[in-house]
Amino acid sequence: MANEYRKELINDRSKKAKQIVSHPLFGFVILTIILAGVQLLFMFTEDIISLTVSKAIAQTLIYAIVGMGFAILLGYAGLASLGTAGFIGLGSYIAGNMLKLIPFPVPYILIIGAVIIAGIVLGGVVGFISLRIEGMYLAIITLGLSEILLELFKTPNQFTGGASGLKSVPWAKLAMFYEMDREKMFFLILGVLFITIVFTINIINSPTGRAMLAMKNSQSAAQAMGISILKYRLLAFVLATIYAMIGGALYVTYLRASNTSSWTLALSLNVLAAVIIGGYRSVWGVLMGTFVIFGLDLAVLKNIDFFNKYPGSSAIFSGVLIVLIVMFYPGGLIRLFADIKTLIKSGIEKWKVYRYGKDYK
Amino acid sequence: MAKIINSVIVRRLIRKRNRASSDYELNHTYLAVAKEILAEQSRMDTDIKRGKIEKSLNALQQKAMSPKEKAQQSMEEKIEKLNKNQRLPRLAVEQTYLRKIEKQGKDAAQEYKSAALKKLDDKLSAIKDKFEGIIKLSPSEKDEASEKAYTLAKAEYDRKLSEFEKHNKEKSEAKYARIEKKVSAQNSRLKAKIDACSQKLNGRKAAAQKQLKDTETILQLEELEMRFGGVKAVDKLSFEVKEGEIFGLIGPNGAGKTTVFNCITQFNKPTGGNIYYRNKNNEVMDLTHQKVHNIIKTGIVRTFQNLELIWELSVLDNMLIGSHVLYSAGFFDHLFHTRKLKREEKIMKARALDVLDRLGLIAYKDVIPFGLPYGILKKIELARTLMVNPRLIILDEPAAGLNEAETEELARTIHKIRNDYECTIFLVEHDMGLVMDICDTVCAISFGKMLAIGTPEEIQTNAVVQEAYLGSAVTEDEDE
Repeated sequence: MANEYRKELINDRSKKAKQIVSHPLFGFVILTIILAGVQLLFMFTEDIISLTVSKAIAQTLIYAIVGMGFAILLGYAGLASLGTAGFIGLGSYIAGNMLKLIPFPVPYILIIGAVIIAGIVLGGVVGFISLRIEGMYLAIITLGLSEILLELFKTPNQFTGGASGLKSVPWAKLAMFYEMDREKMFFLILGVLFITIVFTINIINSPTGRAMLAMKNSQSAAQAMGISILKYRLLAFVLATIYAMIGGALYVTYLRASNTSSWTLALSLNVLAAVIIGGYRSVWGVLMGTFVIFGLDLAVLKNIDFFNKYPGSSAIFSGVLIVLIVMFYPGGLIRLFADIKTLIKSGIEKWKVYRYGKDYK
Repeated sequence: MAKIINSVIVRRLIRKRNRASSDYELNHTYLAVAKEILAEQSRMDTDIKRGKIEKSLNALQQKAMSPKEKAQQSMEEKIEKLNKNQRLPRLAVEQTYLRKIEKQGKDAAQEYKSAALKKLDDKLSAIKDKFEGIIKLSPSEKDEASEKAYTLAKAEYDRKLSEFEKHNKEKSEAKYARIEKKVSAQNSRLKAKIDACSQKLNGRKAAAQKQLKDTETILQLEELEMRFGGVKAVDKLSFEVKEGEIFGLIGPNGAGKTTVFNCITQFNKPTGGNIYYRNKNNEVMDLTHQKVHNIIKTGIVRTFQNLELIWELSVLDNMLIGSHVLYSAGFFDHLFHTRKLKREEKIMKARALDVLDRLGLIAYKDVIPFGLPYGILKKIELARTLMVNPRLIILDEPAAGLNEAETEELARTIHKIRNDYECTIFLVEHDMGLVMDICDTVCAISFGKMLAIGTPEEIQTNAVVQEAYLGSAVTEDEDE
């Protein structure tokens, strides 16, 4: 191995600490620990964290899971979908009905398995549609599908509870006997989020992620390189749908209710907004976007009188943010950090040149 | 019915065999890569160990020195450090001095400069004074026990290092032997699988095989026809490409050259005729029955007239896209980043770096291709085709948009690729210079019909070609 450039294939044992810090999951582990700490603060102290904040964080994390699936779909496969809300709703109803109707305690893994199977079926259907239609028209079709699902939810029946929605869903059991409550559910959501992050990062750093990006950039090149458009479009849709449905299942088991009015176009647009504002090519971006769109709204803006007085005015906030981001930061808010970093670096460089002269190095 | 079942089974067998044979080849590459990587790893580990031993040796040496020597050494170190630290302040003084000249005049600036420099010098001399005092006072006897320990350690040094090296080598050799054993076991399994598949295939379709006239022919177009509505883009075109040659397809604008390519790679499904191709197992297959994304598995790779690179990925990742079909790791391997996937990624990366190095693109490996010079981009696209060890490379106007120097470079590269990778190259080109320069055989077409085929000299002197291709241009020139 005489060639210098091949060094990247070898792990350098002298830089073990650096390797741990620069590992892509390091930051997420820290984030998970911090969020768990926040929940522990809520559980064991009185005033620091209120129930509203804990609930807001949990819901935001659920939407982050959904957002990650959407980021794979939009940022990697290049397909737009406005059917997210319908998929989340369907996942929540499936999970809720499993808990309500099955007489013996349902282990959580079974719920997850059921929504994954449903996600594969539904995602496959939409994926096949996406083979024929692209871009805006695909978004319209998925929107139509979501609206059909919404109408189905609204019609009075015992499974969805009609317009009033599914109520008083029993707490899930983690295994057969370990009963959950709201506080324990938070940790489950956190765990699922972490696993989702790991899987998402693994997918986007694997040949699958590359193949999806190739497909998004140039279909003909992708085909010439042996990438089957059918396979990867289906895969992207199936993944996005599974993520959305798992989000729905977590939602209904955390809040114990699923309201028909939650699963409207507004939610789909909010997910889209979160992913675009954060940056659809990065998991950090998605997390940041969901915290800006959902977290701010649920935890902060709802406590301000003005926004309570005029419900829906928080949409103005996210709308303005989208306009600004799309105009000035097409890569999403996550680009802001990179830009700030380069700005600081160049500033320091300039100052050094001023202070020490041009050839100070 | 039996025919359909037969064809399904045959297709499955072929797929199985192809998978197995590509895995078999990859395993060989893996062995080479693993050997190199293990050697490099053990070298690196030895370096780290050497550093550690030297560090402890230095500590012992420090201990063995007399207090006087110790003080001397620490003074030297301190002064060196101070000199290093004072470099930037001195530069800053210089800069401030230059600015002060403009603002406050020369005298004030000179005053400031001398004061500031004196401050720095004072610091230096203060430390010198302090240490000289210490050196004078400290005794010069050495500690015998630690001196002995140091000499002992020094004698040990080489032995320790060589021992470690030996141990390390043994370890890495054992590891390599383990890998080799595993891989060879896998390979013998794969080989058995391949043989079994071929045997079954031989039993199944002896009759269906089409034989090409010439055993050297790699690609044969037979009465190829492509219509777009009422327009015949390609009209009963037949020619043969021989193995190992550089074959050029020329023709005026709109002659249907790119359509021929698209038909071969199945981007356009031909409306008539057959395209026969001899794959590496020496079997003749009809490409018209293949799907677009399966063409690359037969060993045919193409480039595009307008660059089709993945602009969101680095050059190295673009190369890895080229080897997408070689990965045998499935989706769950991707999901969990299993050892299998990591191994394959290592192989592919090593291969990509190798190709990039050969084409002189290694400097660009981590760059996003967007914004690179056009000649480099063309080369990257060419490099991407080499990731799968192709048998036939199809280049769609490789010289379009390049200047003369870049075209010459490209011609050299194409020759190099043909010789290094032992593949056939089939290209469409407008640049007559390039075509006449590098092609072994040239085929001229016009309006989808064959005009002439032969060596470049024959084509150049062919009257029909001249009339169709150059005729109008010549008369225009005469008009002027």
